[in-house]
Amino acid sequence: MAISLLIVGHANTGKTSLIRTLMRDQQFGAIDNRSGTTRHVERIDLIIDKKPILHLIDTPGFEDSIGLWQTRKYEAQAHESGHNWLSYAANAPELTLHFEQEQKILKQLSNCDIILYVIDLRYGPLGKYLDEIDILTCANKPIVPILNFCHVQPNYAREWQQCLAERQLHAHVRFDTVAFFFSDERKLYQTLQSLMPDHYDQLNNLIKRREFDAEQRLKKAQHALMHMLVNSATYQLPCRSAKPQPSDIQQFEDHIRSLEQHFVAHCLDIYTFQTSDVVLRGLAINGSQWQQDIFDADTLKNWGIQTTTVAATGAAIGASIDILSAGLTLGTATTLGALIGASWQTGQSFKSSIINKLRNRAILATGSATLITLLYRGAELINHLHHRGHATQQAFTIEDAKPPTKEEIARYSQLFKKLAQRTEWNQEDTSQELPNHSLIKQLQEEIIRLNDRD
Amino acid sequence: MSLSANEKTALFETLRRNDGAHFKLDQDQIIKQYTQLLYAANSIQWGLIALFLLLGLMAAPLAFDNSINQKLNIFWLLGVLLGAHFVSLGLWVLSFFAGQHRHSYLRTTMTAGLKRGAKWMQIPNIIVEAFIQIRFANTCGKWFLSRLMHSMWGAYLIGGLVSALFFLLTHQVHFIWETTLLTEQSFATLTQFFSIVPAALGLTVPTLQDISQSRLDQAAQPEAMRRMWAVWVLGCVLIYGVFIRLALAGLSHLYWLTTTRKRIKTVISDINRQTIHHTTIIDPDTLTKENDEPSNTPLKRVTHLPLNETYYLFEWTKPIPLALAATRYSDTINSAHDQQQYLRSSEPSNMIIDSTVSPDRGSLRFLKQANTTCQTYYMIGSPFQKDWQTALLKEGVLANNILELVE
Repeated sequence: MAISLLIVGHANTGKTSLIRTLMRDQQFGAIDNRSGTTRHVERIDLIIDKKPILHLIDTPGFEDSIGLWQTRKYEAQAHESGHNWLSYAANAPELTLHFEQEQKILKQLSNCDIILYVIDLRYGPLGKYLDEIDILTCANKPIVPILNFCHVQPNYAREWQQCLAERQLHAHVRFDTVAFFFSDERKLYQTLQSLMPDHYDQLNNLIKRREFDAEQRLKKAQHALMHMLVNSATYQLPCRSAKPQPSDIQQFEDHIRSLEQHFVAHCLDIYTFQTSDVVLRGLAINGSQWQQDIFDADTLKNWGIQTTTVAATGAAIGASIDILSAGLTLGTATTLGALIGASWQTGQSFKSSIINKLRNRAILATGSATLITLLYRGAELINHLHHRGHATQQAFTIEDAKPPTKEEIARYSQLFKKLAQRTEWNQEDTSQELPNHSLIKQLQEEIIRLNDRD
Repeated sequence: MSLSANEKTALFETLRRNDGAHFKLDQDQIIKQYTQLLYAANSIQWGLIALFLLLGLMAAPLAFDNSINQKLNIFWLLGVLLGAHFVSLGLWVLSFFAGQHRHSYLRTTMTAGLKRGAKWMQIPNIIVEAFIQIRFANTCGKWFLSRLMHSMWGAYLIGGLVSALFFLLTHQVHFIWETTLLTEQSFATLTQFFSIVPAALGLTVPTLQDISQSRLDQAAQPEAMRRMWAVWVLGCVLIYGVFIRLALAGLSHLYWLTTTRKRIKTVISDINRQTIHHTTIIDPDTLTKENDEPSNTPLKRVTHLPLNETYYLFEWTKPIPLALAATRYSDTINSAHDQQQYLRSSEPSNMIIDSTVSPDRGSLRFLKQANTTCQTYYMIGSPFQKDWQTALLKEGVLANNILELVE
């Protein structure tokens, strides 16, 4: 059976934002800096493997808890228990005129398992907030204070913790709906585990699933970055003359930019954000004329490995041609076809440069500086999206990332220089696996290192 | 041609993943176009197999044309029929175990061809991408290509076998062998080596005497020996060519089926494993929200406060503003108790309000009550200044009594 969590708090403390962040759903509810944005009660069911795990109930914010709490002192209610007063206040028609919004919250108190009381740490503990807690206490349900905006400085965390402790609310959870960290979410579920031991395993599965989902999102985003970098590094544009024309350069730059834009769109999709969440500023492309590094031992060694692979496909091509011409030469011709096939792949990278050299045409390829920038920007974007709360309303601007060290530049340049030789790895279809090659592994390690460092 | 329910589900999920929220095509249209693509891909495969069958049918007679005076070189014939097949098979084995088959030129060519064909058929590229991902990508693609290649070679060898059989049924040839470099012993050993499997399968295989008597310079062969050689040659093509290719084609087909189904199941299980959520409004908003027109009158700005007046900080937890330092600052009004105390006092006073916070119903209720004794409302901070101004005006506060305190 699913656990029912009632999300309550003063108006504009981030109740809807909390749900958006927990659900990774930017479309849930409405968010505004003004009070009274949410005016209805909405339930969101979290379903894992077709089983409902959590019911999160979003409520309007308290706006006049002082006024509502004063009704407790009415003569007719003064001697009633807190629970009885709550039943009265939730349904009393005479209170609807002034407290319709609060009544919506009170009506839900009896239906929930746990109350999550959202506190905006940017503001100190005023009497009206403490009255809200007093009202909620009447429901005799566990209350978990959620200290929202905990990463904003300065904040009133200490003052709040003291006030909560005075009310015996020691188990609070720090959270930030803007700067999101999975450890905060894990702490929330662990707190729920301690309050609902019967649901321990269910919540444990939820934690594991959320961890798995987070890891998968990160892996997918890093994989998309690898694809983008490999495609950028291995892209070559033959020009129409020995000297690149402005139209050639424009075409080249547009292609690289489109690769980055596609990567950003893919990452936003992985993390379920909108296009408007990221501002992509123009990338200063450092396109350079390309030269084959035929003396690179690693490149040549790997071409040797490739020769074996392509030979078989060459045989198939040779067979289909030779059989048509003369059956008797089938064996010889097929073998020849295999040899041609072998040299095809080996010469593939050289072919275009040799032909274009003979035709006196330049080839444009991406320079190391651009590729390093793409790497840094990509890693920074992934890191940002990984910690971006779904309630964040400010767009992230991808600007040129902080500069790498000299050692890093040397290492990346060397890596991209080797990658640039692998024109056969350039692929439009990003769902295809990248080759199982040491260069790809090295690139992957660099990306992981950058994400870990951030 | 109908798609399985699982493949349909995998197709929609793949399209959703590839194109996200932008994907808007009608589901029936998607299935129709995907099926068309599947039909076209299958037709191309069958077309290639038929072409290779035809080539095989043509290849054997060309080889038999090489016979002189009805004398046919046994190993030359075997070489023509099986040589290319063995070379290709060897290269396939090498490339297959090298593990980089997926990056082969053939795959790239086929993918590009499929895309071009789909463009001609006016099938959107996203459906082609999904098709490739479901039926052709990675391991599925490796087995798909293996199946196609072995089927094509199988068809070629069957064609060759059938035309050779037909030729031998209608012609009388003498099977001979000749060599310049090898010894008779080497030839006998080679022939007997090839005969191991046919003999195990019950076929009549040449003896040492048969081999010796079939040399080019020997006398004419008896009919039984000719028949034995014909059966042996055909048997070798069948066993070492057709059977191997059909077995590998069948094996590749099985693996392709398994990997494709596994891939589809993975996509489907990903859907089932997904963390999803549904929303339901359980208590709707029945009141119409009043959107008051914000006041356009700019607030009068002050930097200093009159000294001989009383000031209260309303709902204030920040440090005390510097402007209050020299004044008769009284206290904060932060709780119900403070509010009651303030309302009990009849002394005229002023209120300092933090306008970085949005006004709420409770605050405005109190300020309305306090309006009898409160002379001036000072706003500090800008984000919600207009909201406070508008709300206070609505509660009956005079416009001149609302000021902005600039620190």
